[in-house]
Amino acid sequence: MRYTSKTTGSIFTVRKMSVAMAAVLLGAVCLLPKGGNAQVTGQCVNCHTMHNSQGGASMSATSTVYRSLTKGDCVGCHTGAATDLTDNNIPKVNHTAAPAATLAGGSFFWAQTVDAKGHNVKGVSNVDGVLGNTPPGGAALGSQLTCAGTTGCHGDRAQGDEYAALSGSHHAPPQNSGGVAGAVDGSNLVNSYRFLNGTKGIEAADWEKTVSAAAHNQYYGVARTTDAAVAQTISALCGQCHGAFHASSAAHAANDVGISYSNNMTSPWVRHPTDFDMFTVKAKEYGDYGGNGVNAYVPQAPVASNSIAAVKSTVLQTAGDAIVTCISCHRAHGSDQADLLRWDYTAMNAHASAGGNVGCFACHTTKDT
Amino acid sequence: MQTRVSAKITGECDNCHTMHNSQQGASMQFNSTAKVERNLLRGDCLGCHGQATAQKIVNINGSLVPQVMHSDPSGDLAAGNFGYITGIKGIASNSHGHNVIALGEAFRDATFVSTLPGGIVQAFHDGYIVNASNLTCAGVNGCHGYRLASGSPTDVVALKGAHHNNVDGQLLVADTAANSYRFLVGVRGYENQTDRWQNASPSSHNEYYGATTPMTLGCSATSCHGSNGVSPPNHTISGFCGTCHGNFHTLSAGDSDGIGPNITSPFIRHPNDIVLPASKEYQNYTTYSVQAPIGRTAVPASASSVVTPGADVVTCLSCHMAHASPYPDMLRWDYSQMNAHQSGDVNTGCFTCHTAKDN
Repeated sequence: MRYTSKTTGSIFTVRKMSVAMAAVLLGAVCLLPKGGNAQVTGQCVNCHTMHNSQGGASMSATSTVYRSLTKGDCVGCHTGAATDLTDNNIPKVNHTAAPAATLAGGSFFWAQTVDAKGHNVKGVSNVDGVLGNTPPGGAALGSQLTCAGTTGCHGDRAQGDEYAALSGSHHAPPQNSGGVAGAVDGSNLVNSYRFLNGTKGIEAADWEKTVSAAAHNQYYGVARTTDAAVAQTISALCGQCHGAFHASSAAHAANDVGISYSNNMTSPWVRHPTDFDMFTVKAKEYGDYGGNGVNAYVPQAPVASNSIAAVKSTVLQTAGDAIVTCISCHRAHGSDQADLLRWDYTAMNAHASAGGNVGCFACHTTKDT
Repeated sequence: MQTRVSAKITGECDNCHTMHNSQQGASMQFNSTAKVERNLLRGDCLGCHGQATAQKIVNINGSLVPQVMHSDPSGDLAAGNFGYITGIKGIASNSHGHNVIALGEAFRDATFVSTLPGGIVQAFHDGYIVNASNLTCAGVNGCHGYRLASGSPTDVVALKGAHHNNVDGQLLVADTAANSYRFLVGVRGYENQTDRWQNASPSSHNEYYGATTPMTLGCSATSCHGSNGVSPPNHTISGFCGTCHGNFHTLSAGDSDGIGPNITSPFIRHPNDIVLPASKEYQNYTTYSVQAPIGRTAVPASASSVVTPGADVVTCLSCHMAHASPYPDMLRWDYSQMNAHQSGDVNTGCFTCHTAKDN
């Protein structure tokens, strides 16, 4: 397998065998979430090294010294073997071999070799050979995408340094906004969904290692009435880089502008809508999302809610409870499919599929058979 | 006004010296060996200060001799106890302290026979000159006294004149062994006058001198080599440690990455000679802890129980004992018991400063 990372200073500056070793070594440490929340617990030494020296030897797998006195960087700590999703209660977002299943955000594994199958973050993959450092639908980042910071997704994006961007986050106590376990209201970094600064949501304690209609992350969305951007939604977070895919300030008066043709968040669309409430069109095929008359939440094609008061096991019950998001279709980190999709887009055959309302047809329920 | 106290050694000469190492035909050495010691002493450094008795301060006919190796159950002196290496106190482990060769071959740390942790990364220093094969209490390969110059004095010779010219209390000059903190040439500080040689309580302890930024390696602007031998140009206790363990102290320079490029978080190694922030969890450390002592940027004339975040500084000795401790890496506490967000609101050990990471 080609392994492409050559990031200086990263745990992934070494050959693949060492990456695996690093993952094993770092996986051997113990990060325990407290009370179902992401606050780390356990011995300081599990994650930190004061001087990167023990018995005269480096405490990181590659002799690299990491900021914040950690034993690894983002990728180093959050990389696991193929079957490791949450071993030692560290959520794994990257793998040393193809994982059979992933957490909610997917895995960067596939992006190690295929640029189109994941976000091409520094330390995991090369700069995307087609896109360079310019995210589709957005402006050039100036340098390769990182996990956190100004050119990343997580942490305070005003901070150029990934570690500074996440300072204090892992040690923050459970927030549980509004008294709901795992709920975060986006009021600050530690109170943000998965440290995506400003984003609301409800975090599943196991990062969706097991997922069902009743037990899952609850994404936050807003039922827009114009194409204008909204705040604090998971889609708005994506829109910080992929802005043209999420929002527009104008109606579709020319190519490359807008979401809805008339800037009113109704069909016809010029780009697939997000932060759009399917409840408003439940009289159509969308009303069968999750099964006719059942409307169970579909983990494969999740929808968001405009409320973080509770995890929704059924949707389309009230306005704002079935909001289309970017990650209704995409995995945030990467997937085994092109464009980080949750399913094989080439297998989505209109009126030629066997039914079952999977993939695109989870919402477009009448377009499969 | 500077509070310098004469602490010249007092008492009968024969408390410490022997003219011929013979009295009625018997050895006058404290350990009764026939070996004679330089400067007509009755013992070498450990011979006098590591008598392995049950007293941390030995009284020899009125002369008080602080002990750095003993089995006194009442506690240890401020720098710890080499007995934690040999096992006369606690459980023996070579990782518990500085493995001075005077302790014997059995206590030479096999890991560091030719290296030392955090050695200076700089031309002509990369050979790790000092290591467990040659570490002495004093002199060219030691900590105390005159270090590295012509003659390469070792042990007692490196301390020539120190005991008879010793000054105590507030030490601001630090240009000789005698007027430096604990005969660590160049180091400023306050030597506790109330409970001598001890960090006894929040109001009775040594005061360590620190700075607001660590040194940067270099031969011109910052050189540790001067007329007084090797000493820290910033005169701090942490800078002194850095004269051997430079990569654990300095700012990045050349091939040395040290604690990082500047005094701003995130660091790559735990910083020292850096201000304890007056913000976030650090602002809660306000009463001096003898378990995790902080340093002062001005040497006080007396000990204070007050810690001032935003002014006081982190030192190497905030976490480590200079001689030895009951714990690996000569730490002041059991690092394996430092459990993030599981310890309760204890504010001990690491959590003395990192006050929000325990509960």
